[in-house]
Amino acid sequence: MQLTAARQHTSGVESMTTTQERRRARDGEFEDYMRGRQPSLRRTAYLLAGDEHTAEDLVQVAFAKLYLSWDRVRDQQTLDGYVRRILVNEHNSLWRRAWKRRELSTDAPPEAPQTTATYDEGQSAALWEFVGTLPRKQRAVVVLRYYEDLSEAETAEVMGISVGTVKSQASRALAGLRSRVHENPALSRNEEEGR
Amino acid sequence: MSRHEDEKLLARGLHERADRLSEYSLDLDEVRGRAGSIRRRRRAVCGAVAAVVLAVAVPVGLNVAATGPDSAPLPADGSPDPSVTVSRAVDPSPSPSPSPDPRPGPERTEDGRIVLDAAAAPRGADPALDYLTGSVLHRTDGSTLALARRVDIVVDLGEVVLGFSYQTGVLTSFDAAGEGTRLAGDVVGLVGNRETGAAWVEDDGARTTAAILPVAGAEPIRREVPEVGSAQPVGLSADGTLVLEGDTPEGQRVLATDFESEPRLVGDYVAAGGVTPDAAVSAQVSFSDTGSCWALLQLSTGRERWDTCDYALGAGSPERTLVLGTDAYGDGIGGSTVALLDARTGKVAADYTTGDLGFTQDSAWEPSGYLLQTTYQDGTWYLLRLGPDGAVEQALDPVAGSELDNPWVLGQ
Repeated sequence: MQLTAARQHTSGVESMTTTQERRRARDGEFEDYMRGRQPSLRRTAYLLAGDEHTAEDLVQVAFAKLYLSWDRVRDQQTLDGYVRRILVNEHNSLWRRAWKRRELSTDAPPEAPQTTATYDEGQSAALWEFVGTLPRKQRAVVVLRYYEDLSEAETAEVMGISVGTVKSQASRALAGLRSRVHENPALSRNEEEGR
Repeated sequence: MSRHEDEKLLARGLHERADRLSEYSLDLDEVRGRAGSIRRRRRAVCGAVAAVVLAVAVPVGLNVAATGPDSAPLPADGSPDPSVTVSRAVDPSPSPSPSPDPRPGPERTEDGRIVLDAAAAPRGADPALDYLTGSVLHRTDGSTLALARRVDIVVDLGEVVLGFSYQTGVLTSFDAAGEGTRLAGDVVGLVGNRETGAAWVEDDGARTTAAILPVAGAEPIRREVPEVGSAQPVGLSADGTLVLEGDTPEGQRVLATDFESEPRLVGDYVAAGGVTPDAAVSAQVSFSDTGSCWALLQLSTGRERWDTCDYALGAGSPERTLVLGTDAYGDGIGGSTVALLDARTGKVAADYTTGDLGFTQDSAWEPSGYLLQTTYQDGTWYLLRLGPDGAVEQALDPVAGSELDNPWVLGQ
């Protein structure tokens, strides 16, 4: 009887140890992945959201959701696309826009980021201002196509929309950019200088 | 500037802006803390739902146990009358004569939700709805039609089959031999079925147009959707009203058009999940970080029949008794919740959860009011049939494969 109880106890301890080890290994794998992927994901989040604070929040939620789903995502090769999809979905979710509105209406305007590049600030500022005017979906298409350099099909896959929608949204964004050039010559200056 | 120059300018501008970001690094503890918070919120939402389900489902289980997973397969061709089952399922009054030895009902979680264990479900009848595997259309009469090309959405109008490809944006009309003729380009979505006809949205980057093909062989009727940056078709009701989601100057809004008059805004709702045959729309009314609130709204009157903050709402069943509910709080991988709600009252008829077993993806109603649901579990895709009485069965043989490759496209 005592022997049986002792065996059960030993078995329970082993089981607990195995579970803890498994969890540690799982967390280690996740952390490695997060460390490697975080910088680029954060840049994408920033371009989608427009400010660092929201970008950090988006990235944190995306990784938190990935953490919750880590055991379900069997195909490790698809992780990048998966976490990007969570990020875009999160950004597109309506509550976040509401939250952002509240932030902007109650807090001081966000500080302008420090310039570290030698790029034409007039053009850069005009471009960034233009990106800020794009509707949510157009902006996401622009970021995925022209920053992440995804194909139209990949962009469609990440956003859960058709390739046709990606094309039409990109066309609308580019048409908007062209019309802005007339209003703001800074947008075309660099291009002309570069010729 | 040429388009290529515009694209280069945008790419350079975005890279330059992104490179300015300051250094910041998340650590695992922060992420784990956030994950815990998300999990608690999800449970809080689900717990409230489960309490309601338990209150109404227990007495019903005694009566409907004969349709549980270990019983005979569910009829798939209109014989069950879900309205009867639903009215029993949502009636909280105790059963007058419970069986003293009921057969076991479906397995449930501690909080009363039905466990959607696809692998354990028995094989039932084939789908009572068209579906595609690859480019082969399987019809409910058992016949198949090999379409000339693969499509992502299919609407079988009888004489012709319409297919839409996400990849090309082309809407194709397939004849009885499966040969395709291009019907429209720059298409962004397709909805409809044999009863309602088909409708779609065309967007060439400058103009957004809604189109409807009421019956096979007719000429499409088109109606411009003005002042939207983009629009997606959501559903088509039996009276020919198309519901859309569009990016308007006020943000994303729900619109509707009967093609007789210009598309109109539907209140200030921000999203739509589907329509019912009797022209009600599942519309999103508000949102929060734990999900969102939805209402079933009668289009003709603008009056809400009922609302819920427990589920995101989808399409209504063809026999008008049920509305689909899914996770109010989603992430990228797919759903874990499928609920069948009484279309009249919003009460829960059945609430299924995959838990950690897998995830759910596409769904479509069979004419009889059972839901076909694609589910991924342990490296295998399943097509399940779910009933308002909590019954679960496989409608096709499972297919092993990647979680990214759902082998079926369901008709509508």
